[in-house]
Amino acid sequence: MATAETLPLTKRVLGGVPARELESAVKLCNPAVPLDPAEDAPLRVDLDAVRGGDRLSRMVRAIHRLGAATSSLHFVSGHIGAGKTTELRRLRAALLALPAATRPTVLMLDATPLVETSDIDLEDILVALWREMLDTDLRTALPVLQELWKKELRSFLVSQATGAPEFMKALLNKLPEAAKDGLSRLADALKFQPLEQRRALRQLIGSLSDVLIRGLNRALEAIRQQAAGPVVLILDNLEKVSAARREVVEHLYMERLRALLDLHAHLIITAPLFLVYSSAGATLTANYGRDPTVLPMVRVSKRYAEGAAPDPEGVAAMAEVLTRRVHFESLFAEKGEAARRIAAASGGSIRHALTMVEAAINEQDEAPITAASVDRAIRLLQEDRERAVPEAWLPHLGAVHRTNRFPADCPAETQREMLRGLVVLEYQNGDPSPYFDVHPLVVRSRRFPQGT
Amino acid sequence: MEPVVLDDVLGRLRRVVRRAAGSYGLVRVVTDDAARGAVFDTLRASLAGVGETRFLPTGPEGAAALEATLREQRAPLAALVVPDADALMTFDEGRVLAALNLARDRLGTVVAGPLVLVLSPAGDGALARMAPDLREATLGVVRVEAEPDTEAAVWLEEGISVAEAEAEYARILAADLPDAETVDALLGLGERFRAVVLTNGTSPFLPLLQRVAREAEARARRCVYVRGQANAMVLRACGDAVGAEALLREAIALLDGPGVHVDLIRARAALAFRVADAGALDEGVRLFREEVLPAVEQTRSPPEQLAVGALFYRLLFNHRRYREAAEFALREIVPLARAHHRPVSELHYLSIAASNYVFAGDYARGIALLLDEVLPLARRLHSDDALAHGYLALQRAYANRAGPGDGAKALLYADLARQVLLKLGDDKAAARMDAILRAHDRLARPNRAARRRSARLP
Repeated sequence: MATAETLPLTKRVLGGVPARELESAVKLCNPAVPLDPAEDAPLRVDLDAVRGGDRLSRMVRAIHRLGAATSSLHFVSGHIGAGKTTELRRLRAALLALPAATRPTVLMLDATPLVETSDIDLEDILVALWREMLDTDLRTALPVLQELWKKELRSFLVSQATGAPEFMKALLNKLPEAAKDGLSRLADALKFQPLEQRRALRQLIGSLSDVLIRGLNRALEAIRQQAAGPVVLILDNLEKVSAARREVVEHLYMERLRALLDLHAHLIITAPLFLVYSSAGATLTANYGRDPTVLPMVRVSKRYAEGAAPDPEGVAAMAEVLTRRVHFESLFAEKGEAARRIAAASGGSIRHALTMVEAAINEQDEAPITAASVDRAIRLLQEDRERAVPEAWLPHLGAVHRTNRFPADCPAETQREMLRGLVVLEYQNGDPSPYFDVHPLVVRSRRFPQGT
Repeated sequence: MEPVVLDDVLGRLRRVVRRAAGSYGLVRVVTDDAARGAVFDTLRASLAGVGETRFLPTGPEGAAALEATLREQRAPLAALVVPDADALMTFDEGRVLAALNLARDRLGTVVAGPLVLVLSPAGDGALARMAPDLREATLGVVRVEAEPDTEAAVWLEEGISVAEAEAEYARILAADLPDAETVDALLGLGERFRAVVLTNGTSPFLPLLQRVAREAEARARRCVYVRGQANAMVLRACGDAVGAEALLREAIALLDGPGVHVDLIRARAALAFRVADAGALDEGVRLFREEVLPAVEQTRSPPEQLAVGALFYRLLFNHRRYREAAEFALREIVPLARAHHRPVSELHYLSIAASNYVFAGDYARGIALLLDEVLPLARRLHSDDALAHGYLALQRAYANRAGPGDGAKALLYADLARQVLLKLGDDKAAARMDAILRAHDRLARPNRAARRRSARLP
């Protein structure tokens, strides 16, 4: 049953889009809600031209051409709020729109519940993939997995109860015979047990990782025999593990996830942006044979060497993102100019643009929203950005703004935090390599190093 | 005056919370302690009737309660308020905050409406470091701060007694800090009552101020802390009628250099004040207008601009240039206070500008200012002090002007002033109004309605 939280964005308001009432406008500007590719199509703006091309379409073509005979692994990255989930949903829709003869089966797994412990490893992902297969109730996969669970996995795990610590003994002795229930019990233990016990359990499950992968491959094979095309597994929100210590994140992506290359499917996995650009980034490409696909910010201003002036095309595209949701002509005194001003101040971050629209609207009880309210909303976000910037970052930020890259003496950890905190933004606009710039609202702040 | 929380800001909070109803959205409310009560009152009022709303406890209990809610809540709440989100940073080394951060995209299953985190400014900064992803997923942020009475900070001793100040002085010396730090601490103590000494010429704090300044200067010389030494000399110049000008010029020479320095500006302001007090009023005014005010404008610091502006106003007022003081206040200080959302300062200077016009005999301008700007702003800020001041000024203006109908208006405002003064507990001033009213045999209330109809009501 649809709840308020599963409803597509356009269905959460009365009166259609763009919103002509302030209350509806605020709801449509919730930056945390990704778009449904079908229901929210009126809200989506094609931003490929202003952020370096349609990268995800390249992925669709690659998967389509590789077909069922070959597997692949793709990493997708980008800033928080850049629209990754929205674009992955669109990618799924694009895959499902392929000709029937080659149409893939697509499974999309939200890794958020996995990463809530911020202590995640390969075993958690394998168990989650098993559960996803069982939860989607694919008649072809279920008997395969059920048999393997009963004959190999469960019997091995139960046999390990003897001599095991008490908590593990209690868990293993009571493992259900139904695969779905058994996997749920394991998944819960991996999430809720204290750290040391989680690690012990993970070690035990790790000795079965070959069996787990074999089971998944059998299930994938069964699916392929029923369907024409390959199987695509999308693992969204795994990049949220970036909240953990950097070495934990690097270990997971550089070492452990390599085991997934043995899966006979096309995998698309989200990765933290800092990993793409750290020294570990090059290893990501080397390990997995493919450059990560990055969803950059929309370019709303030119590089410093080009004068750092507003980019009209990018600003117009961002403004359209806003005007698809909110009827600026009737709700804002400055009409479309308000959308353009907000777009320019956003740095190309859709999330920030929506936040400023919401803030401007909430300055007043009634429309039209004045220019002063827009100014205030921009200033609020500017102050918010300023508060996110420690003093020690300022010299590095000055250099980033001038050179559009991180200076050599900027520590990797600092780079990670700057990207993660949306203080530095990444752009790719037809250039062979990405470039970086400081968020325009940070550049405007009084603390920003003068003379840049 | 009590700290004031702007109705505008609370109105914004109401709108953000009300419009977040029905669909999950994270709302951050960043507030200081002085405004916290107003924030909670507004949240309760805004969330009344939306459905099941939960206000968690403060402190570690609140963090634990949030963790339990995330884990156990089955049917989504209509709203959830974490009144002490700072505790999330420290409880169990931030574990609950980490869990909230990672679960941010599924919080809609817990709350089908606003999840409100109430944070201190420091807490919001910590959130940026500890949970930047959660912070980025904010639907709306509202900053609610009580505005301190800027004028009080400049003119009053902030409620500190001489004994308390002496104790603070002793505490600083006993702390046995390195010399430079001791100098800064002593200068900070001295600043708290320097302004009142500077502008009023005398104060019970004066002997202590001299001791603080001398101690700071000696230590600054010892550790070659030039800026501290200069600032200590500026402090010492307060209340030193004989040697102040030479001391200030010496301090300015030490501070002078390229760039805009607040210390130098303050020293020049003190010198201009001293020069005017020594009898060269025009020279003092010139120094302010041509050197001090342009320099402080370059700092782009509203507190500094307001503080220095207040000094210049006081200089003009002390030397009875009432009309010039009023015009300066209206042209320079009020717009600055307004632009930087400091309504308390704005009201103060509107009020005294109006009084100055009345003193100067410009009744029409004084009355217009009082009716059109002072009283409405005083009501908006719920300031009985300013209302009383305004009513008294209007009474005086109408009584002095004595034009047709002015007599009735003077009595009306005497009556209004009396009521507010009684409410404020100023029986003496209320008694004066009483006497005015009695003298005109108007103490009885039945004709109040008639008087109001004949007067232009605020």
